[in-house]
Amino acid sequence: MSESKIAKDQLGRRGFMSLLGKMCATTAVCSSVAAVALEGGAAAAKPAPAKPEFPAAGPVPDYDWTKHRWAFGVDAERCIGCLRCVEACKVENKVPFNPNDFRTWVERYVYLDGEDKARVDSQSDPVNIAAAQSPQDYRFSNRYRDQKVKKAFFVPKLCNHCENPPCVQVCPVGATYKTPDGVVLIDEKYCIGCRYCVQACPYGARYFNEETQTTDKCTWCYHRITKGLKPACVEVCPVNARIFGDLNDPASDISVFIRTHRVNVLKAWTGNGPHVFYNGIDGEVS
Amino acid sequence: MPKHIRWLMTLLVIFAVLFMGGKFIFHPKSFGMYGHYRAASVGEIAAANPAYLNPSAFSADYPKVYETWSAGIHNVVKCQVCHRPVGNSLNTASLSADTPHPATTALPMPGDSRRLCVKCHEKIAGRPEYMRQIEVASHYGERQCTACHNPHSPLYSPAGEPVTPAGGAGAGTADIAAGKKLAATCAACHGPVGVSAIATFPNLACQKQPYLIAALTDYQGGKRANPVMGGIAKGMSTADIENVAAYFSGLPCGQKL
Repeated sequence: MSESKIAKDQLGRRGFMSLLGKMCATTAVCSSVAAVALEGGAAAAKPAPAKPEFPAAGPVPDYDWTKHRWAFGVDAERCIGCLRCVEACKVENKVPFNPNDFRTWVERYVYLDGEDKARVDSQSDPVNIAAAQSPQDYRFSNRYRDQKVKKAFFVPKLCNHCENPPCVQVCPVGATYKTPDGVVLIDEKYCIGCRYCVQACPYGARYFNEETQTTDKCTWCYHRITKGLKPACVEVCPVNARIFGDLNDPASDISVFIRTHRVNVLKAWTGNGPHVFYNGIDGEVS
Repeated sequence: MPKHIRWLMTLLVIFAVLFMGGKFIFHPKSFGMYGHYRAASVGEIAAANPAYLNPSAFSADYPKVYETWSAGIHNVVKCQVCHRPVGNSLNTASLSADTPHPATTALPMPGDSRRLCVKCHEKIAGRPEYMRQIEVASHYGERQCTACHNPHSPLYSPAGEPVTPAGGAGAGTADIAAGKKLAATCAACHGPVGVSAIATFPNLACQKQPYLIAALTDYQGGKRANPVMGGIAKGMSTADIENVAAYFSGLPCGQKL
C-alpha cells in the first residue's frame, strides 16, 4: 500500500525517464527554431554574397583595410613639449576641452641633480595649467628654472593599439574591437559606459567622456588615415617627433623610423604587443 | 506530467521564444560580420570630417603669405598650429589641393604672440638643445614677438643677438620699414649699414633700442646738446624716433664697414 502511494505522488524511474525525453525534445525543437530564426536571414542572403553596404575589402568605402598595417612612432629626442599635438587632437576629435580628458598627452620626465627618481608632470598638472592661463590652452611651465636639471625629456603618449588589446577582451558588449589594419576602435553607439576597459588598459589611454557617456580614446584619427591623411597630431607636429605610417610599406615613415632608430615599446612585458614605438626614452618611462 | 511542471515548461518555452525573437529583432544586422562587433560602426567612425587641413588648402586664399611661409624656416609649422582649425563643416572633397576650400572658412587670427610663440620657444627643462629658445622674462620686455619677428618666416640669430628684419621680411613691419627710409639721412655720418666710417661718430647697428630712443629724445629736448644731432632730432616725430631706433637696433652686430 505504501509502495503504490509512493508511485503515485513521487516521480519514479519510469516517469523520470519519460519526462527527460520530453524535455530533450522540447529543447531540441526550441533550439532548432531559434537556429532557423537566427541563421534564416544570413542563409537567405547567401546567394547574393555580403551585404551591399559593405565592400568586400571592409566596411569603409574606397579604403581596403586588409592592405594596411598602421603603426606609430614617437621620437622623444625631438619632442619639444609644445603640446600642439594635444590641442590639435582635442579639436580634431571633439574631446571635451577640460584639463583632464585627453586622447593624447605629453609627459615630462625631469631628473634633478642628486635625485635618482624622475619627477613627472604633464599638461594636466596644476602648475602647468596655471602657466597656460586658460583651460583651453596647454603649456609646460618653467617650474625647474631655479633647479639644476641633470636630464629631462618629453614623452608624448597615446593609445598603443595593441596586438592583444586587454580593453577589447573585457568589453562585455562588443563595443570595442581591433580592425584588420591594426587600429582599436570604440563603437560609441554600442558602448554602455561601464568603464571596464578604462581600468583594463595598462597605459591609461582611455578616458570616460562625460558628454557622450561613453568611453573614448585615440583612433589614430581613423577618419583621416582612411582618407590618406596623417593623424592630426602628426600633421601639426613641427619637429617630426610623431611618426605615422604603414608597416606593410618598407618606405613609409614609420618603417624607416623603426629601421633607423633603437626603438622600444612601453610595458613590453605585459604581452599586449603595443604598436607605438619610442625612441629616446629610459626604462623608467612606462 | 504534474501540473506545476507543465506550467514551468510552458513558461520556459515562452521565455526562450521571446529571447530568440528579441535577439533577432534588436541585434544590429552588421554585428558579427567581421568579428564580435558592429561592422557598421567602422564606417561611422571613418566618416567624420577632418578639421586640420594640409597648408596647400590655404595657398589659393593666402597666396602671398603662403609664399613667404613656404620659403622660411617656419614652414614646418602648419597653418592651423597658430590659426585654429577652420571647423568641421568642411567636406572631404575640399581636402585635395586642386579643389579650393570654401572661401567662408577664413583662418582666424591668433591672439597674444607672447603666449603663443613661447609654447615652442621658451627655455624650459626638457626642451632639446636644437630648438631655438629664449628666456621669456629677459627677452625684450613685454613687447609682442611679432613686433620684431615675422611669424610666417622668422629670422633668428643663433647667438641670441637681435634679429635682422631685412627687406620686407621683418614683421610688425610698418615701423621698421619706415625707420629704414628715415635712416637714409643717418647714413651720411653713421654709415649705410649703421657702422660709421668716422672715428668720432658712433656705430648705430645693433645699438640697444631704448638707448637710441632716449638719446634722440634728449637731443630733441636739448637735454643733450649737439648742434648736428639736435637739429636732426628736432625734425623728428616720436613715431619717427621709435621707428628709426627699431631699425638700427635690429641691424646685425659685429658688421664690418
